[in-house]
Parts: sequence; structure tokens; C-alpha cells
Amino acid sequence: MHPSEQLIELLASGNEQDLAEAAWMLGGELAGRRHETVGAVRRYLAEAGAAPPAGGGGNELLRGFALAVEQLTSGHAAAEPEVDELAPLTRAVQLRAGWRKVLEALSPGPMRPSEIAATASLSRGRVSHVLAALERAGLVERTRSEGDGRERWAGLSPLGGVVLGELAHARAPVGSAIDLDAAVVATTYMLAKLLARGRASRAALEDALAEHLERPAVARVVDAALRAARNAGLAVVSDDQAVTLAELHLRDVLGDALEHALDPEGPAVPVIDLAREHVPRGGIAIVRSESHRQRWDIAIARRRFDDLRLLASADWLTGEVERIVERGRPFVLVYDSPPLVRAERASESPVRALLGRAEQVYCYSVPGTVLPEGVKALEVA
Amino acid sequence: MRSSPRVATETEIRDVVVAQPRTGLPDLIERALVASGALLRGHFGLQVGKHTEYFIRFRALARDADVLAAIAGHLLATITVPDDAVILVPESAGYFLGEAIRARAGARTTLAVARTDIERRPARSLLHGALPTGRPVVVVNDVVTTGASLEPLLDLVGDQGGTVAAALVFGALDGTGFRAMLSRRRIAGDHLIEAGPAWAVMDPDRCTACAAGTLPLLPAAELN
Repeated sequence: MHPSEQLIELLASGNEQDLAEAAWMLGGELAGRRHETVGAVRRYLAEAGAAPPAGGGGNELLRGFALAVEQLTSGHAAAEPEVDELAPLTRAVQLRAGWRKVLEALSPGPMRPSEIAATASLSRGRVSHVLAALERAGLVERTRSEGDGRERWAGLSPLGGVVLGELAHARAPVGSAIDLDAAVVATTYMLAKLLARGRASRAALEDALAEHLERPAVARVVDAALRAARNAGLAVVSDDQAVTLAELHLRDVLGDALEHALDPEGPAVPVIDLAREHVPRGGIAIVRSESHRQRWDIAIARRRFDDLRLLASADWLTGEVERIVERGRPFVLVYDSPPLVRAERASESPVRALLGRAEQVYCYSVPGTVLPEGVKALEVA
Repeated sequence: MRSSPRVATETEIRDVVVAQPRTGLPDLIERALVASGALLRGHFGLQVGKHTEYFIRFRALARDADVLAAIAGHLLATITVPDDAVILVPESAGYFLGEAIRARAGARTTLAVARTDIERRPARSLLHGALPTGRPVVVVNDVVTTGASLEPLLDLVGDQGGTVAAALVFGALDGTGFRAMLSRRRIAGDHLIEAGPAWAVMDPDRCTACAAGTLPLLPAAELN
């Protein structure tokens, strides 16, 4: 499953556990770029003098998440590979109360699932579910008991023991240890929550953050969080543009479709063919895209289409637009997403003039996509 | 009115671009840069944080299939690419060079594409293809500064248990830095052009365009 597909599924479910998991993935995206992005985020948040999320009585989930991320990002300073490998596991355990309870229950030694259920105050069903997950994660080992073949004993694996130790260590310094990288990822988590409710916008995110951060820091934290979300392949969010789940899904579908175009021996790419069906006689179709730009470019160049061009904002800066939009040749514009159409209709960008000259404006869509008036849909599977 | 970069003149191209002394190469590069308008003059921010007065849009050069094939040929002549190598490129204009190299290398050569993040830096994850354990990998990109931007790709190969056989790039603005990076990581590699003395690559606090304040800074990665 494509990572952003999984994210969307988690976000759509709307329950706290899934949201936490989505936030975890997003946080990983941010922290995974530790060579550059985390350092950069840390620097500019420090410059902004941003305060950490408010302590005491705040949103517990948010604080817990921020704490988990703090643990993750501070682990990078040590640059020990062991720490790097452990961090996601420790974080996973921190985010899942059930996992933590079961591991803690097992710390004295192996026991039967029924005993775990009693010690951890969890239902038998939940214990069995959690044990299966912990076993997959390599944190728990299960053996058949000698006397009674029916019930399997569970015990901490060596790795599970280490992670449990890490967890105790990670819990000790609370309070002031929450730093601003954590604020960024916590904000990304808020974005995830807002997205799951249907619509997220920059303004909504800033409002939600206002109670946790000082005003001057909010914009920078929101920028960084949106960047992390976009890096995770999640969203195109700019200024007041709202993004819906349908739009995220569309972006994902197009991204996947174009991925096939990267294969030099690969099959035809349906989304490309879809645009070419609408080329006017003697004219061209111009795909207007900022996301997956390189992929469109590669797909078009590889298949040497004469009637299909990609147009990105940079083409105005470099003068390439003259080559792309030939004078006197009829064209249709094909947008890759509704927010781009909305933005360009509203602004005084040079594209606005082009919009008026196009024979027809199309936009890719999936079920649920809301298209601006006068724009025809190109439904993708 | 916003100032835009402009296409560099033929004289500027001769002044700022240094091609390795290989038969026919300097001539080929100069002609290709003139014909494609790929060398821009303006005020550009590089991903490493430095500012530069010139920038090469490799995508514009790559539109000429003959030029692209010639560049790939020159690069391949300098190293031995294992017959079953995987060519790893970032999802950027470097793809076009990587694909040209794949087409000319061994028949069993395959292509893998690494994701780029929102700032168009190569990221440490694969978008397309695979890096099977044990297969040698040749990392390819279009233009780098010192080569530091290649490191996520080199790390990605390590993550998957592979070995980097070589790193090939069309241009290294800081050729000395690029060679130092290769020797530090003990990998073979080559590049075809460098920035000459007249091509200023500056730290932001010493950038003349910033001081003059007339040209807006453009993120170079946006242009490719």
C-alpha cells in the first residue's frame, strides 16, 4: 500500500488510535529528514523564539504525541544507529496504550494471556490482538506451555526488554524537555485531525494552535507542519486554500498513475491518455501541475507526445512558456487539482490570461472532487 | 514588474563553464548550451544554501536526444559500469541523464528512482524500481554543488544493503568538493563540467545580488 494511501485510510476512520498512527507516520516523515529538515526547523523555530506547547491541562493526546516526537528527534543528536532503529518502536509503544500495558505486565516474566489480561486490566480479546501485533513487531515471543498445550505463554523478547527500558527512560524527563520540533509534529497531528473531519485550512490550523503557542511562532510552526504533511505526500495547502480528502486522494491516484510512467519499459499511462482525448484539432493539451511535476515531465518526454505539454510556474521565469504555448495553436488546459484552478482564477497570475484563451478547461477528479464552475471533469479510476 | 533571469549569452557561456579537456567535449557543451538556452543568469538559491549567479536547467539540455546521448557516452567512458547495475536517479531532471545512461549500459541494467521532497531534495526513499541486495548501484544526477545532495541517495543504497559502484553527474559546480566527497566515501565517479572562476557561487552574506537588492532570489530547484 502506498504510504499516503495508508495515511488517508487512517485519517478517514477518524478514531483517536488511527489518528495517532497517522500523526506518527507524518512525524516520521519529518524526522526522517534529519540531515536537513529537522535541523532547519529547529533553527528557525529557535529564531522565532517559539514557546513549547502549553503544559498542564492541555490536550493530553497532543502533549503525549509531542513528547514521543521529542524523544525521537533528540535521539538523532546521539546518531547511534541502535537509537535510530529503536526510536520508531519506542514511539509506537508510547502511542499505543495497549502495547505499553502488555509490555509492562510482562516485565516480571512470561505469563499466560489470561494473567496478562488481569494484570493489565484489558479484555482477553484485546490482549490477544495486542500480543499478535507485538509478536509481529518482534517485541514479544510466544511459546507453547509444556503442560497445557492449549494456552501459549508470552514473554518479552530481548528487543522488547530494551524497548521497555527505553520507554522508562523516555518518560523520566517531562516538562521543559518538549521542544519545538515536537510542536511542529504535534501541529502536523492537528492537521491530520482537521483533515479527518473533512476540511482543513491554514486558518483552522492556526486557530487550533493559538492556544498552544505564542502568536509569532504560530505561522512558522504551521509552515513547517504543512511542509511535513506535503513531504508525506499528503496535501497541497497554501494560504487559505482548503484541502479535502477527495483532493488528497486525487493527488495520490495521479501520483501512483505517473509512477508507472517512470518505467522505461512500462505500459501506457491512462491519465495521460485521458488528457490526450481532449486535444483540439491541430492543437495541444497543456497539463498544469505543480505537484508530481517531474513525473509529468518524465512521462511526457519518455513517450514523446507532440500534443501534450506540461506547464509549471517556473516556465514563466525561464521564458519556456513561449515554447510551450505556441502562438496561434489552439489548446485545452488540464489541471491536476481543483485548488490550483481556484488559486489561478482568483489571482493576477499570468495563467489567468491563459485560462481565458483555453478552448476548454479540464481538471482531473475522483468521486467526491468538487470542481469550480465551468471546469469539466476528467474522471480517473 | 518582477525581474526574471535571462538566458546567458554565448560569451558568458565560454567564460563561466569549464568542460573537462576531452575530445570534442567543450565544443559540444558550448554549442548545446547556446542552442538550448539552458544556462540562465540571475540570482539563484542552491539547495546547499549558497547563492549563485548562473544556473543550468539540465532539463532544457536533455530535450536534445543527441546531446543527451553524447553526455551519457562521455560519462560512461570514464568508469566501468557492471553489466547488471541499477542506475539510481532522483525524481528530478537527473532522471533524463540516468535513463540515457541506462539505455547505453548493459542490457541487464535497470532504473530506480528516488523520491524528492517538497523542496526537491533527493529523499532517502524509493519512488520506483528496486535496489535488490547484491546488485551494484550507479548513482546519477544532473548538476550538484559539492555532491552533498547525493548523500541521501548513497545512504538509501546502504539502507537496502547495496553497494555504490559509482556516482556520475553532468556538472559539479565545485569540482574539488565533489571529488573530495567521492574519495571520502571511497566511490568511483566523474563529472563533465565545473563552474569556472567567473561563475560566482557565494555564501548568502557575501552575495553581491543580495547586496544590490535588485534581483529576487529564486530557488534553483524550482527551475528544473
